[in-house]
Amino acid sequence: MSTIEDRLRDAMAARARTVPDDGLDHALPAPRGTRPRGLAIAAAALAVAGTIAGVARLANPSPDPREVALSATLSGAADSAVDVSVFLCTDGSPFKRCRGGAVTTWEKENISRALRARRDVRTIVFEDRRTAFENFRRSDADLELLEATRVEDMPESFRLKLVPGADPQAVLRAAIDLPGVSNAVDEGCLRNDPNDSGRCDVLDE
Amino acid sequence: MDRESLRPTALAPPAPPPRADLAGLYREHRVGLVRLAVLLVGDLETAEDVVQDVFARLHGGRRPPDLTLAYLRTCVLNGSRSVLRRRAVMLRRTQRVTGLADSAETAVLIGESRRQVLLALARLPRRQREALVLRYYLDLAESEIALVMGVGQSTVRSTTARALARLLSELGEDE
Repeated sequence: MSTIEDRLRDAMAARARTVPDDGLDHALPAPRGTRPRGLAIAAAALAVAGTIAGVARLANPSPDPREVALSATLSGAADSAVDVSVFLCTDGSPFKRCRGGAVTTWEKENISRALRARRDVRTIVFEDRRTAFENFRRSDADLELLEATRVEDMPESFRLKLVPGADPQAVLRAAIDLPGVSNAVDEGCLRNDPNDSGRCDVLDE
Repeated sequence: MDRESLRPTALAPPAPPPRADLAGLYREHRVGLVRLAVLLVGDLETAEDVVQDVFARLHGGRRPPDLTLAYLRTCVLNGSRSVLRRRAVMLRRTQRVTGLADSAETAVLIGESRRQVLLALARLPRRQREALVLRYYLDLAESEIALVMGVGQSTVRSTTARALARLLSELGEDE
């Protein structure tokens, strides 16, 4: 009945449909061959270190010791366009809010919708694991940390740009209450005062 | 009708496209390009890698002033080729044959009859597979396929014909 052409069309369309479309605006992968400068901050460190310490001081041969905050990510710091990062639960998240396990597709849609509906949020971009890992890999992060980190360790996140004058804290508080969110970070605060990242997120109530 | 070649590239000033352009293209075409890549390389993870790589390169390096979907597809084809080349080297060592249905889950999802078609497609020479994917998955016109593959239209025609004949002999006329 069916010609080889019809069978081809049908099989290829079926295979293509198995590739999911999550409907989220994915963040553009970081440029190849360039290293984002600035503070190396890694959310992956959370999974690796298994601790929610605010800031860890890592020994560094350079004269000024480098501060590495453990609760935000590199790309946010490198890209000054990001005001707020909202991190999502992974399977092994140490966060109390992630006891339900990894964020679900439904939760992601819900978070995206809820944040998009806010008047103080201008744009929302979704950063997937692979992009987060690439950014992390190209950061100045500790070599041991890099070796111990895999794509699966990276949390997914939403990167938000706020309208001028908006209060980031209000957005953080709203974001953290959404199911599937592990923590949220005020990137502007972190950029201004990287040594005191404890004030810039809402890890603990 | 070949829309890509009709673009007034000669008239438009070659201004470097703003970053937002690339981000917009990524937003709009990421899933479509991953789907194209999955038909070429066979598994989702590699397909996502290929597409990410294409955009990371475009983001960092030089790119044509008039960045078209056809150009992005060409990049995905090239990226898939390098992946397959690397994989061929590995396969020669391990003697494992992979089809276009990467996981048991996918196989169940698409069914046995389609899986046979995809396996046969995966066994075709690289150019033949590309021609069939562009023709029967993306429904591109001959001129567009020629543009994406970087070959002449007559080559597209003969490659497609040969590919179909080979599939037919492997799969038979009917179910």
